[in-house]
Amino acid sequence: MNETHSTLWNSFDQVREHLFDQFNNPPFDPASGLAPDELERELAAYLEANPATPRVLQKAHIFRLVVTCAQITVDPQDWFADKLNHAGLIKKIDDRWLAEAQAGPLKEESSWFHQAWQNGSGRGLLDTGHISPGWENMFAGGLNGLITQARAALSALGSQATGEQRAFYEAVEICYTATITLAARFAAHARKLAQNIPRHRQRLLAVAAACEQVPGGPPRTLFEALQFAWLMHQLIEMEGEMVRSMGHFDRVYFPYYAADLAARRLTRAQAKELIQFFWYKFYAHTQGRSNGKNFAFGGQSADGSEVTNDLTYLAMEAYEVLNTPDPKLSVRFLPTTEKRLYRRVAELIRKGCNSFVLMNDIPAVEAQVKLGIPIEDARTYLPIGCYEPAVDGKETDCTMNIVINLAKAVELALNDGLDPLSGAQFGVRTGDRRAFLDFETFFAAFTTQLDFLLARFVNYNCAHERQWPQIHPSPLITGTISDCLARARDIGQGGARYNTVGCVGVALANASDSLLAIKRAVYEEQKFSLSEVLDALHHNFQGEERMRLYLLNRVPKWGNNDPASDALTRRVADHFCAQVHTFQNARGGRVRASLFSLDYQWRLGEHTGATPDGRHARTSLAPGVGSATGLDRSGVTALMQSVTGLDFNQTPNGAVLDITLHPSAVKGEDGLAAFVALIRTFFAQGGYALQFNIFDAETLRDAQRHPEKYALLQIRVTGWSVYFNQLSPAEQEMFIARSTHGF
Amino acid sequence: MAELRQDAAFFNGSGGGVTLSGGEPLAQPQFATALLRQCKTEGFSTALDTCGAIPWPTLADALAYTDLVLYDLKPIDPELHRQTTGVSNRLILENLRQMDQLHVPIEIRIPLIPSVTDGDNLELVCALLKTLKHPVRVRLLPYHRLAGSKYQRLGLENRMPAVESPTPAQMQAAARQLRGGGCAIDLE
Repeated sequence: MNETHSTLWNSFDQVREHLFDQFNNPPFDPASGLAPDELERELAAYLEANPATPRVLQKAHIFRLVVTCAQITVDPQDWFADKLNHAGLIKKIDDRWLAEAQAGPLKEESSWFHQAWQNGSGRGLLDTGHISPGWENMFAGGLNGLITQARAALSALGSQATGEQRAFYEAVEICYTATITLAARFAAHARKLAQNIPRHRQRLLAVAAACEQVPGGPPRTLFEALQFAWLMHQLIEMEGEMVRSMGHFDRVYFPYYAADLAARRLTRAQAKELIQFFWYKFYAHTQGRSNGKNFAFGGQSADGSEVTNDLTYLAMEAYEVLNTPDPKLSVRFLPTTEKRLYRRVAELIRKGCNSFVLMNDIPAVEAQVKLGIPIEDARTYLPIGCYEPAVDGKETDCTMNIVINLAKAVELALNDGLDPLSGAQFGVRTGDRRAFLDFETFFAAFTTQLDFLLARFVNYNCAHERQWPQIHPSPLITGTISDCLARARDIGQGGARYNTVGCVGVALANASDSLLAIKRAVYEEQKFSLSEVLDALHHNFQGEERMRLYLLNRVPKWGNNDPASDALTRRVADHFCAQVHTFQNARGGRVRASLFSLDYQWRLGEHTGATPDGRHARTSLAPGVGSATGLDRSGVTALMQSVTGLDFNQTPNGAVLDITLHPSAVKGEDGLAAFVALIRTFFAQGGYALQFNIFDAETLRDAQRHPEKYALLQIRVTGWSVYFNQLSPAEQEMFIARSTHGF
Repeated sequence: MAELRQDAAFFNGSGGGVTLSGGEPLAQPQFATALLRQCKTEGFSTALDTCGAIPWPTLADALAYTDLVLYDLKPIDPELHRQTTGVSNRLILENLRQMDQLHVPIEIRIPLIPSVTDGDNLELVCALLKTLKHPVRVRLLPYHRLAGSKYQRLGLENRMPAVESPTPAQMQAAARQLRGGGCAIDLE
């Protein structure tokens, strides 16, 4: 690290290594505040002394104590001030409150969720962390603006204001005032350092000035906006919600960027460098251990006009320099989006910079509208987490509260509600094998099991939601989301304009392939009896390899553009989505369907027995909305034809197709054009979202043998990318097994 | 055709189409020509990947429905051609001249096999292309050894040249040589 050559600008490359380690034991100034153990005692003392204080206020006060009292430091080589020694103390308290609820009022529901997870049926949890703060709401008037709004709202209630409402507004104000105090602490610290470190004086003074403006006031420059966003990100995560979208980057930050350029406060290159410093923090913070931070690009504004602008491309240049798996860029496309953006994204993916999701604005918007969201709001959606749309600044969307294994419903239907691997009677009684005289009867049993599981998950999710205000009040983020301040309700109380729960359907391919295998081999061809198949499944196909291969190879599989397979898959998807959309959640909103799998393909697959599609027990389920691994044998266009036959207007919570292409398929100018055409055609046919891996099996094998040569090789796992070397051998094998479509 | 029609949207989107390849597609001339004709009738672009060792009338029939010919040229020198492929290249070169007369769009493909088709062979390629009336694109394909396991599986002797794939530097050098000789060249 070469300190003697530090300059104000063009310093990123020199300090990159240092920045990578910035969150490992920062040099907190002992004189600046309390050490973690002292702080912990303060928090404990406060809680002990105030047991009857409304929980939202308790939360606000412990937040205040941490940000005003914990040690801080400012890094003279960094553009952003953020180092607070909070030692995870607030999270510890959050976890305690959750544990109390799970042992108490949520005992039964928690227990059922636990069982469901253990037997591979799915996952239910109160996810208070798939959220985007209302970035523009914050930026409009700064935190002081939000305080003003809170006071006005309380005032409007007059004498009608309840104790609870007063406590809520007080909590919000405490949090914002404390945050402004923290920024002032950073500013003072930076000014002090500026006097002692002349080499970094200019930068430190700029940081101080920014922290004196934001987050109390609105940002005036790109630099201030980024400082504001980063600090709030850190504090909201500290409060206990994982920030799952950083907003629509090229829409929200463009005005600041454009003004800076026009006023010559910043050059384009300097803006790019600031973005690099800003973005690198996300990766440095988690070092590949999380699922990446989502930034949205492209798409449209509320009025339908396209967003894509110079900042879109500048940001991609910054990403190209970083080439890290975090952040992740969600690029929203319209048919009218300029070719340049398609090409640029394709080119980056082709190079191995594959931290992208490509989203099709048309179904993404339409699916929300179909469930009652006004179109102006639907157009401003942000992909939350990986690809789940939520309205920017107005929606609290718990997109992953329910994850359900569609293949498990097949297993339960085959076993009269008994889960074979765990031996538990987890499903309902739908009849034993002898009752299924025809396929339709069996299919009815499948839907009954699925509907039963869904109803349970939703019901128990609602119970969890009702405890949310006790478990996890979130005043800091709540004030930023419309209409919480107007309604005097925390996000956990349904204060937002839209309050949603997402339900993810995993393993569509395995469910559909298994159903078709039974329909074809048992009922139509009468090749095997249902009993024979069932016995074989119970023995994990031991001694029944002939049967397994028949079921695997002689029955059409999803993703090969086969009419019978496609029709049945549509039927399963339609049923699932329709059923999900019959439910309300406990915060005054809906439950919304999605089709993808993330890493549940193997986490649930591990607990799923052998299935009639020829799959062995405890092996991975299908990724995304595509084929079971390796079973898309008819080429990528056939896969896309199958997938675009699904109706994505019924997956408002998202649906993604994972594609692996061989490098030769996208090589050269011809290859890039073909790649772009593939994307555009997929979208033109109604496809929802895409993500890509471009590799060949030989490269991955070589990477297994010589990991040191492939330190930068990244695999798009699902909604996030990881370094190939960080995958377990089993996971690596899985990627090698995926069909590599090529020409 | 039913299978090809399934990808119609992708052809439209990319401006691509149907390429007949192989093996040698004109080893089944009636089927190949009928397929090409039907593709044209339905509005798909067509390309034909052929080695050209086919009687002219048969080739001409197929050309009527072909938008682009992908023409593989092995060593130009007749003796070397016979040595390496077992057949003469007289017919192949004659057909090339005929196609040129008819102004058929052609992309010449040359597998670059170090020590076999580089060096002198590339001089001969330049000389040959200079004799054509209409310009053609040339694509250099790097030699690869992936056929080895196929020979094994078919129980045939692998008599492919035992040389390594050309390095990127060798590919660039070959391209420069061709450009110097006046060819419009694409590297694979």
